[in-house]
Amino acid sequence: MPLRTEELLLNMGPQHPSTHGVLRLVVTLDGENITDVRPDIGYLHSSVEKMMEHRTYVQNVALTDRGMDYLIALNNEAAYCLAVEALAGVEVPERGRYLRVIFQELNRIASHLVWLGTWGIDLGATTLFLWCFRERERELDLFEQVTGGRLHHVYFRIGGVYADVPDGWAGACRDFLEYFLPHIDEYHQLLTQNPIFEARTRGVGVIGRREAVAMGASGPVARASGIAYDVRKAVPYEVYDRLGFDVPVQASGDCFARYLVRLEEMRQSVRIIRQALKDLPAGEFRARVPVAMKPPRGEVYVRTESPRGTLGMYVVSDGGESPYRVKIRAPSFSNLYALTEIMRGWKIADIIAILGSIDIVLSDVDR
Amino acid sequence: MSAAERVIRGAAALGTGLGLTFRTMLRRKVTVRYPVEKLPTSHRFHGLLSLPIDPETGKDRCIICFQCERICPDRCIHIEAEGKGKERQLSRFDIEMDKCCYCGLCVEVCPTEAIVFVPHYETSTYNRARLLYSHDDLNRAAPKEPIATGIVARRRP
Amino acid sequence: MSTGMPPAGTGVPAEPQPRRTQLGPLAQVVEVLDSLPGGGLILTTVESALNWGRASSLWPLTFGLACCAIEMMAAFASRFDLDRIGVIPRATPRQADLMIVAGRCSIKMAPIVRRLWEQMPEPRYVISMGSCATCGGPFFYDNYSILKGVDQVVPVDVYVPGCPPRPEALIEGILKLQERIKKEPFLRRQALAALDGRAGAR
Ligand code: SF4
Ligand code: SF4
Ligand code: SF4
Repeated sequence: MPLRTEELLLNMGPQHPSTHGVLRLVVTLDGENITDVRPDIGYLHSSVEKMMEHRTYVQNVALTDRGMDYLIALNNEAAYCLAVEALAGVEVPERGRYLRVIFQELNRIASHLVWLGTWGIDLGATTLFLWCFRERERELDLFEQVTGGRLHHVYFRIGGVYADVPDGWAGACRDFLEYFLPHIDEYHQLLTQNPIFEARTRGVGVIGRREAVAMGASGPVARASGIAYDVRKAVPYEVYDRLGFDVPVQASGDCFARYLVRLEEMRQSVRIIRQALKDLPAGEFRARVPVAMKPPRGEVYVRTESPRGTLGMYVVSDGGESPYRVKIRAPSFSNLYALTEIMRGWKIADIIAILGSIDIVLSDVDR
Repeated sequence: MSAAERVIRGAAALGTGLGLTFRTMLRRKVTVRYPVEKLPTSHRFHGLLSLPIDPETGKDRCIICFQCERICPDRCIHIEAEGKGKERQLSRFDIEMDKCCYCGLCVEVCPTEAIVFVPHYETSTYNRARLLYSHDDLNRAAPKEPIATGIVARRRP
Repeated sequence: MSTGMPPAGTGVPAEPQPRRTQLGPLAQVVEVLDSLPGGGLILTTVESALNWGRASSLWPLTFGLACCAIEMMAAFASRFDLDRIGVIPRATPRQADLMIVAGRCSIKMAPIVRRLWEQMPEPRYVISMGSCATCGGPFFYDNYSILKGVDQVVPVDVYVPGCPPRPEALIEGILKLQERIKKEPFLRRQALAALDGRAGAR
C-alpha cells in the first residue's frame, strides 16, 4: 500500500533569519520537495514613489537612500541625479563624474560584501560573515571621511557631489584596495573548493538563459545565466566608457555561478576604482544648480547598473518644484520573480541557498 | 567521484580552511571594546545637530533666514522669530532629533554655518519626548542624557 | 489570512498576565522576607545579583526590518562584537528577552511585530532603533504605509535615534537598558503582580 501523503503549506517569514528582511514565502511542499512557491511582498512598502511627489528635487536625494535599496545608497542617488540632470540639462563637471564612479564602485563592493556575509551565515559559514564585515568596516571608514555617513550618505547632488574628498583620502582608498584584494582570494579559499559549499550550491537553482530573459532578470543573476549584459558597457553613463573593465559571465546559471560572478565583480570594481583614482582630474566637482530647481516639462528614463541589476529611474516633470511622478524599476523585484519560477522541484533546504544567491533587498522589492 | 577521492578532497578543503582560520587568529584584532575604548569619528561625521556658541560674540551665528527649515526633507526644524529688523530674535528653534534623518541638507544651505554636526552619536533615551532639542540644548552641542556604561565599570579619568 | 490581531471587537490586546501558578511560592517567600527585619537587605542583595545576571545576558531576537538592520548586523560583526557584552542573537522569540526593532515598520508588518513581542517570555524589553522605529522619521509626512513609531504596537524601553544609528549608538542603547535593568525591583514587582493576580482571583 503506498504511503498516504498530504501537501504541506509552509509559511517562511516574514520574520525569518535568512530571508534578508521581511519577505514571506508561502511554500507548498510534497514531502521535502517544493511544488509551489508564492512570495508575499509588501511588508516593507514605504510609499517612497508617492513621497517623492511631495518633496522638491533636492530633498528627494535624501529619500532615494532610504526608500529604495538601502545597501546601495550611492547607486540610488546616482540613478536619481542622472535622471534629474538629464531632465534639466545639467552638465556635471569631470571631477564630479569620476568621484561618482569611485563611490558607486566602492558601494558595489560594500553591497557584495554584505551579500556574501549573510549568504555565508545562511549556508552555515559564520566565519565568512565576520570576515566580510571586517573588510566592510574599513570601507565604511573611507565613506565616513568623505560623506559623513556610514550607510546613508546623501553625498551626490544634482550637478555633482556635495564636497571634494579630503587630502590624503585617495591614498587611504588605494591602501584599502591593496588590503582588500588578497581577501577575495581568502574567500575563494574558504568557499570555492569546499565540498559542503559546492554540494549546496553547484547545480542548485539553475536559471536558464531563456528563463532569465523572459523573467526580466538582470545584473549578476542574468550574467550567471550566460547573458553578457551590463548597463555600464551597453549604455555607458558617467565615465564608464573611459574605464577598462570586464563583465564576468558564467554559463551554468546555478547558485555557484552567481557566487563566482559576484566575487569577480568585486575584483573588477577594484580595477575601476584604481583607474578612476589615477585619472581623477582636478577642478570643479559640482555644477551650480539652484536649490529650488524647476526642470522643464518632460519625462526621462535613465538606466544604471546597480549591484543587483538594472536600476531604472523614470521621472516626469510638470515644470514644478517637485517631480510629477517618479517610477523606480527595481532590480530585486524582477529577480525575485525569476526566482519563484525556478524554485519548483528543489528541496526545502535549497530555498535558503537559492534565495540568498539571488541577493534581493526587500526595501527594493517593496519600495 | 569515488569515496576515497571525496575523502581526500574534503580533508584538503578542511585543511585549507582551518589553516586560513588559524593564520587569521594570529593577525591583529579588529574588535573595538566599545564603552571602554572608542573609535575616533571623522570630522565630517553626521552626528548630533547643534547651533554652537561663537566664542567671540557669546551667541550662535543664526541669522534667522529659515533656509534650513525650508530645505529639511523631514520638516523637523521649527523656527519662530520675534521682532523686526535688527531686534529680531529667535523665540523658538527646535529640532526633532527623532525625526531627523541626518542628511546634512540643512548644514549645506546654512549661509553662516550656524547649524553644524557635532560628532556625538550616543543620544539614546528612555523617553521619546526628550529627543526634541530646544534652542538651549542645541547651543550646548551635546547629548541631553549622560552616556551609559551599563554593567561595564566606569573608568575613572 | 490570519493577521495576528485579536478578533474584532476586543480592541487593543491586554498586557499578558505573569504566570501566577509558578510565581505563587516565590511571591510568598518574597512577601515574608520583606516583612522580616533585615529581610529587605537579603532581598535587595539577591535582587541585584539576579539583575546583574539578567543585564549581562540580554538575548535579542534577530529581527531586521530595514536599513537599520544592516547597522545592527554590523554591531554583531567583528568590529563591535556585541557577544562580548553577552548579547547573543536568537532566531526565535521564545528564547529572546530583547527585541531590537531595527528599521521602519509598515502597517502590514505591525501585527507581526506585536505577535512576536507577545511570544517573547517575560520580562521582555524593546529597543527602538533608528528614527523610523522611533517616530516614523523620514517617513513621517506624506506617507500612507509606515507606522509613526513602533511604540504604537509594542511598549518601547529605549529609543536610539539616528538614521541609521552607528553600531556604537546601538550598543550605548543596550547599555542604557542594562542600567535600567540593574535598578529594577525585579522580585518585588513579580511578587506584587502575583499578589495582584491572587487578589483578582478572590
Ligand atoms: S539633517 Fe536633514 S533631516 Fe535633519 S534637520 Fe537637517 S535637513 Fe532636516
Ligand atoms: S539656515 Fe542657518 S542662519 Fe538660517 S535659520 Fe537655519 S541655522 Fe539660522
Ligand atoms: S531610521 Fe533611517 S536607516 Fe533606520 S530604517 Fe529608517 S530610514 Fe532606514
